[in-house]
Amino acid sequence: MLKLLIVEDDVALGAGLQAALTDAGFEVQWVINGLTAWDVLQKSSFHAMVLDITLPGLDGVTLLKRLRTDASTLPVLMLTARDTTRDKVQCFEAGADDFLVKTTDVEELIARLRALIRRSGQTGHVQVGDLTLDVDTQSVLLAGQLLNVSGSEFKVLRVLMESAGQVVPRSRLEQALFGLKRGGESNVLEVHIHHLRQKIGESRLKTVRGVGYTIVLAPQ
Amino acid sequence: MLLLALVSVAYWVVIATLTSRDNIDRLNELYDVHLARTAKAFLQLIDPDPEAVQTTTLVLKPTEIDLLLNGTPASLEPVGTTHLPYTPVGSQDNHAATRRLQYGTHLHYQLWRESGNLLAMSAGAPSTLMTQQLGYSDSIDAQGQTWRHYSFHDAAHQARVVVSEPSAFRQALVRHIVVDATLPLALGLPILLGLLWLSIRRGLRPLADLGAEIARRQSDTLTLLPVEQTPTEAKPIVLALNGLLQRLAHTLEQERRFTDDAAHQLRTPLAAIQAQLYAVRHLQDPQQRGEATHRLQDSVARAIRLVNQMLALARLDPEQPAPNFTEVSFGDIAESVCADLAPAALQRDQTLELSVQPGLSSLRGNPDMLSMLLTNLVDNAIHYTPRGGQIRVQAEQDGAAVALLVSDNGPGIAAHERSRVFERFYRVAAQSEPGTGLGLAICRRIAELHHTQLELGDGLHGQGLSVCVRFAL
Repeated sequence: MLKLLIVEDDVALGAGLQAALTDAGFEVQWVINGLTAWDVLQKSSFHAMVLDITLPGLDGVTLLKRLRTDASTLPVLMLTARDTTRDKVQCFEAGADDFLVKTTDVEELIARLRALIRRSGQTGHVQVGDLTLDVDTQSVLLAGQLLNVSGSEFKVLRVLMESAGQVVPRSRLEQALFGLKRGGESNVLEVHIHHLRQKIGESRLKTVRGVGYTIVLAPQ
Repeated sequence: MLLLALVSVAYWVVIATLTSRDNIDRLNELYDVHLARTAKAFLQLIDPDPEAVQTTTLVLKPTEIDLLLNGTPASLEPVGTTHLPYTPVGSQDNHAATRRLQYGTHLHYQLWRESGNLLAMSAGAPSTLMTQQLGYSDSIDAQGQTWRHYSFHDAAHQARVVVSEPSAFRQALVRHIVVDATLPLALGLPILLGLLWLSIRRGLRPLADLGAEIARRQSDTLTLLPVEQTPTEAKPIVLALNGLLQRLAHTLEQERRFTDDAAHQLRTPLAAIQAQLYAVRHLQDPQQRGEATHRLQDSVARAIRLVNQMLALARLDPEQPAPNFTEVSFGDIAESVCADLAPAALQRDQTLELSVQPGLSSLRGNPDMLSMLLTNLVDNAIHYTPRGGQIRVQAEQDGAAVALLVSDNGPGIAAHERSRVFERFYRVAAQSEPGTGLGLAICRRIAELHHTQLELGDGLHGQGLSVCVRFAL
């Protein structure tokens, strides 16, 4: 079970998040004070942390900096009422992995947390419905059946599955395929997508024309 | 002011001291020259026969000598060379001054034969040689009085002339002249400074009044300052202040309106939340409870959306000039906005399509604001277009502009309502979908900040709505 630490001083929001995330299948520990959070982090390990900025004891940004100085790679999602670019930059500079404004709905929070944990590679495999992608063995399983995917197709599918439910822009997929240099106006990506569709099923992989592609969380 | 007065007084004292010292030196030189001329004139006046042997002494009254000397100015014309660059002696003015002071009457004259005979002397002069030295010399007599002598030997007359002048008398004269020159200034300067101070004070009075007027103000008194009574020099300041006051008043009005709007607009979703919550707690039927829960969630989402939109608008509202503009690739912005919003369109079975013209020019703008503008437009399209509808986002070159076009095949906005939808909290009449009524107001503000505007038109296939924004390059 994935372990989460929530650091939030608003009791109503903290309790709500704890209930919602527990319901979503996480094992949740919730603390109110920044210093308590630091102590808890010393004693036990987590898969991810949801962190507020304004906290009693020790504020979120300082806690995060201390954590990164300590060489911790724990995925951290900042959840805060502040939403200016400056706040975001400050958080990312301190070492945050993701940033959400407090009014974001719980479903997106859950999706982002899952993506964070997937990307952190702590699980070694990515699961979307009955589709499983094993990062260590570079293999893809559909309902337990091993699929025959090429290296490039695996790269594309991995990015898509790590952000399942979100639309991944073409540019990000091309970056995963070709590195930072742009592939130009080639249709290499389309070819890989076409092949992937044939292997995992049309309904799982949707196109948003001109934008990108998405792996659907619950295909019809 | 005090410092200025002290500095000017000090400056004046230094200048006066230096000038006086200089004047005293020159006056002394002048009197010396005069002494020498008097001696020569005296010799010519007596004009003794060099061969004659005289045993009696001619005694002349000083007044007589003076009269003879001054009465015949020609005899005072320069004799021999003088080391002065000018020849002040002999001028009519000096003459008059000298006479008035009875200068000559204080002098002692002696005319000696080299053999030791005293040929002539002024009455009151001693009958002994007043000085042994030739040329200028000083001595103190038995009474302690200091004398200035001039003595010379004349070979033609075989005579020696000695003229002596009491130093005290010369000092008195010099002091008199120096004091005469400095006293008017010494008396005039303080008066001048006083007048200067008064006039500056008087000149600055309107500024002081203005300062007092501003200091008296309450923080919310934003009436304009009077321009008419302001001195010309201060007018630019007052005008600039008035400009600031006007902007402040505008901002304050905006704030007041925002707070007012916010409170009113938030009441509705909060009231809805209250009602749904009551329903959830009291309804027994699980299906009805489920529906109420759903509506509760919608109301909360609406309140959240409203707060976010109001915050966005409030941040855009103040009269900030050009926000941070950078080179922006509209293609990149459109891609990330559409990627963020596409899941919502997919959920409603809508087709969201983005087409960015290849090689589209980048434009100058604020990326965060442009992103917010497009998010609002696409979000509106997704929101108001029914399930299964179509939404198209286009970015293309349009002459010297980049044109952004968001079109849908939803219900659209009736032509007569199109000009009003940009007002805050305006809701289209035939609209049942909940909205904040702020989205387009935000878009318009962002467009204004980018020196452009939103144009509403017909959407896809002759129905729905299209919003076009042209950014000049």
